[in-house]
Amino acid sequence: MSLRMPAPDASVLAARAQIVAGLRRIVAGEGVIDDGESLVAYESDGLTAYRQLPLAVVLPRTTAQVAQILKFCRQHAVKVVARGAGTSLSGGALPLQDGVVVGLSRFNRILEVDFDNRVVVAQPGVTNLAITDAVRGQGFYYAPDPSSQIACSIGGNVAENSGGVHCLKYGLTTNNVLGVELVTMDGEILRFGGRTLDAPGYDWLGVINGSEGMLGVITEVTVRILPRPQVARAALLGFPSVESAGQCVADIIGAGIIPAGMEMMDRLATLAAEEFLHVGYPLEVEAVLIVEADGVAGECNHVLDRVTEIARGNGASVVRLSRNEDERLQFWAGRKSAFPAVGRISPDYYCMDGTIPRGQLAKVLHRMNEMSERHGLRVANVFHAGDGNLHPLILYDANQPGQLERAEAFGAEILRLCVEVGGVLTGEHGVGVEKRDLMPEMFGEIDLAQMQRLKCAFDPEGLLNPGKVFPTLHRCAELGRVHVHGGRLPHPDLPRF
Amino acid sequence: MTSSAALRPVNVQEAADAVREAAAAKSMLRIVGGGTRRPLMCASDGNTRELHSSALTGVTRYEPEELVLSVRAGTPLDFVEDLLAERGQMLAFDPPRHVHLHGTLPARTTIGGVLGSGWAGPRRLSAGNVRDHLLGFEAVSGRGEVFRAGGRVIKNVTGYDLSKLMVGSWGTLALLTEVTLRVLPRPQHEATLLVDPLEVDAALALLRRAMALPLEVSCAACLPDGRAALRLEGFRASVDERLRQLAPALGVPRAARAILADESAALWNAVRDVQPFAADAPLLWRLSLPSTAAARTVASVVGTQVGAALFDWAGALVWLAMSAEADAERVRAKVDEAGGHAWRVRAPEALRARLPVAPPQPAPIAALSRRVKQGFDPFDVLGDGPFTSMNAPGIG
Ligand SMILES: Cc1cc2nc3c(=O)[nH]c(=O)nc-3n(C[C@H](O)[C@H](O)[C@H](O)COP(=O)(O)OP(=O)(O)OC[C@H]3O[C@@H](n4cnc5c(N)ncnc54)[C@H](O)[C@@H]3O)c2cc1C
Repeated sequence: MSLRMPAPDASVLAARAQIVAGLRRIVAGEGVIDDGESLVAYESDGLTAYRQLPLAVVLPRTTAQVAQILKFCRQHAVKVVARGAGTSLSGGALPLQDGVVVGLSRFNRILEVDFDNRVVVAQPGVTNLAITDAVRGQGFYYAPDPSSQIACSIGGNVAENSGGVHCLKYGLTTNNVLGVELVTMDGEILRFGGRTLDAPGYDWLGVINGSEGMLGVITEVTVRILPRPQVARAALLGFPSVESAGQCVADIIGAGIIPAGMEMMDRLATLAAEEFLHVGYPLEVEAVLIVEADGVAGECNHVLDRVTEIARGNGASVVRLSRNEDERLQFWAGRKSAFPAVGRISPDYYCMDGTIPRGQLAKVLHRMNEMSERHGLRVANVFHAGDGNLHPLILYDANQPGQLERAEAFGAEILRLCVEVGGVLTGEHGVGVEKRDLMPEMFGEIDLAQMQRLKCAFDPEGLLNPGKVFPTLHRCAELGRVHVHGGRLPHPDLPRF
Repeated sequence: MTSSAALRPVNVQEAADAVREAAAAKSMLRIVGGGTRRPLMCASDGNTRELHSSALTGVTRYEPEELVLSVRAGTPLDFVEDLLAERGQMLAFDPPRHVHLHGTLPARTTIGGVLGSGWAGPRRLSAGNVRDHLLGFEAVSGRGEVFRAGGRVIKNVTGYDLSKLMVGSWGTLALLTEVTLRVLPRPQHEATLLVDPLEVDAALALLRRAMALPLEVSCAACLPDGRAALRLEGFRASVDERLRQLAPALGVPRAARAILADESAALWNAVRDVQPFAADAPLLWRLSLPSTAAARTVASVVGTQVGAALFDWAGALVWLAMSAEADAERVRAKVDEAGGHAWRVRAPEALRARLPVAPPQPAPIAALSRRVKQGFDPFDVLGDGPFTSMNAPGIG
């Protein structure tokens, strides 16, 4: 696939042997990988359409090593791409030909569980689920739960500000992180926040969450944990139309209910999930909605009574309430494996991630069906309905010439539509390389320049993960000047991807 | 002191012009919302004019069913909260009124001021901080450029989260002109369990135990008289059931009583607005620190003196009142040791210069702050707000 990345620095490519030797002086033995065969494991992340072998991979164990690596790379003008578990769906961890991948897989220890202050301090390579596993025995859990939680790292979660089905009630990663240790490109070790509920000065945690590995390398994360609710129950609802399901969602919110989770699947996604897992989803409906309530029994009963009433008022033809934990998990099982399920009915699929105002759902799905016909590709929809985050899965076959390009064009059209109806390009997967060139759909030149100036404050040479997020590679010195007038393009001469 | 009359731009373009003109004239502006927190700002010289957001008011878009509200930044907080209340909604972060605290009556808090200072009320414990509720904004940077970030939806990772950076930046980076906030349904019912006075460390331990229970305690405070207060909010059936469970689970069956509905809300508004210390207390601190260190830290400064502290956020936020003669300089050292930070909210004239308002930052972070500020406000038109340490890295 053609993707324009910053031109590799020939002098860095030529100095590969010296760079590898320099890295070996910092991390001995197997901690530095430079042979082609082993590097293949790092050539892409979850967005496998894009591949690039890095110059080398280094796997440090300590923050001091990370600091030395970054300092060394800055001295030699070597670009750096941080990598957690490599599950990014936007190409955030895609390597650069002239860049070193700093893999955090050896930062895999939980450093402290502090039940009194209700926080866990973890190294960035710890998986999302391992945090919950570490506190489960005491009745706690870590709330943000991306579907990739058995694999993705907490450092990657912070970098992408990841979400999950329970984020409607409990917030995204950024709302659950209290502290971060970050190593900047000049090797400085900075600590932000900690075990307090707010932090002094500018909101560093706010900008580090979701910064896609472009401000520094995260070497420690402090998250808050919550007591696990006494009861969780779910309703499985089937609707004759997407519109009625959408209206049901609006009415639930309108009734003052913020469910613990509220997920929708369209007919194709439901069929795929049912074929895959046989969980008993209704097949004669156009949309399936799963609504979860949690808390004390009285809370769950009240919420599910109201939800049932609202669903029936909106013409739900199927209303089932989970009677036990097995049944609740079964309701969720299909939704949670929607991606692999769709993967079984199509050789390839392309997962999108736009967010829209909830009220626009029916309109957007309708327009998406039109696009689907025009592009000649099927689309299955799973949808974090409570917060308007869409995951259209575009079905294609990479072996059929032209289909990948059509899938990408279709995807871009969907994201433009999201922006057009008042939404955004990405709800939780990040911009990465994937949506980089669509950024101008949402932001003007001045808006993007302001974001880039924030990056310049952390990484003035632009060595950390360049080529991601921003469609234009500005030099910080240029951005420092004040000469953007009337929103006109300030630097027609600068490289655009 | 500030020079000449305040500027009152009526739209974003006028605001941008004002900033550009100030830059050209090498003068400075101080952004003022309602002016309730003016006493917290660093002293400014004769070269500084105030820029008031008071003519940038009004609702630009309210979609209750989407749980989103867009307003111009100078809109008074009362107006916003009344509007939301009409539709059974609220700003969940519980914005405080600090006019009494700062002695700035009759000023009115504006939404821009709430965001600029970034201090949340008691519900921060369960509903998130101020910054967790700003979805997007339009602003004029210190460069005099109008820019936007974020959006109108809750889930959004498109670009850096500059909304968070704006919250708590005290007008040092940009003038917010329009903000889009996440709003939430107002709870149907509430109750507060009040536990008879205990020693501070026992009371805070009780609050922490309550937060570890799966009963969704939304606010938890230890009042200056040593009583612990635990708030439950939500649907009536849910609140009733949780209230029945709470006291026995904490092992305080007898010495506790519950207050309901308006009486409960009034108690939390008093905590939110720091009413116990609104009138006197010559020296007042706002400490943010791990709950487990709170009792010890406070005792190390004021001993076991009763009535000196109001503990909110289950002990992670402390409003500490001191007599002026007390050993004020030790406060920051002790709070730092505990892994926290301290804002000096009120001090007698004589002490102010020695006790900066904002928590000093370590040198590398102060340097980073300056670089970030440079990116937004290269000519330093907007000043340093309360952050003296940005000018003098390493001090403190
Ligand atoms: C099947 C599947 C399901 C998924 N479901 C969800 C979902 O429900 N919700 C959701 O939000 N996402 C989901 N994702 C996307 C992905 O799992 C998340 O974005 C995750 O947070 C990435 O973590 P990672 O450790 O794999 O990061 P990587 O892919 O390794 O890296 C992602 C980005 O973070 C940066 N990074 C990683 N570690 C660090 C560090 N220590 N310091 C600085 N930067 C760092 C990288 O440079 C890169 O830009 C899913 C992915 C898959 C494959």
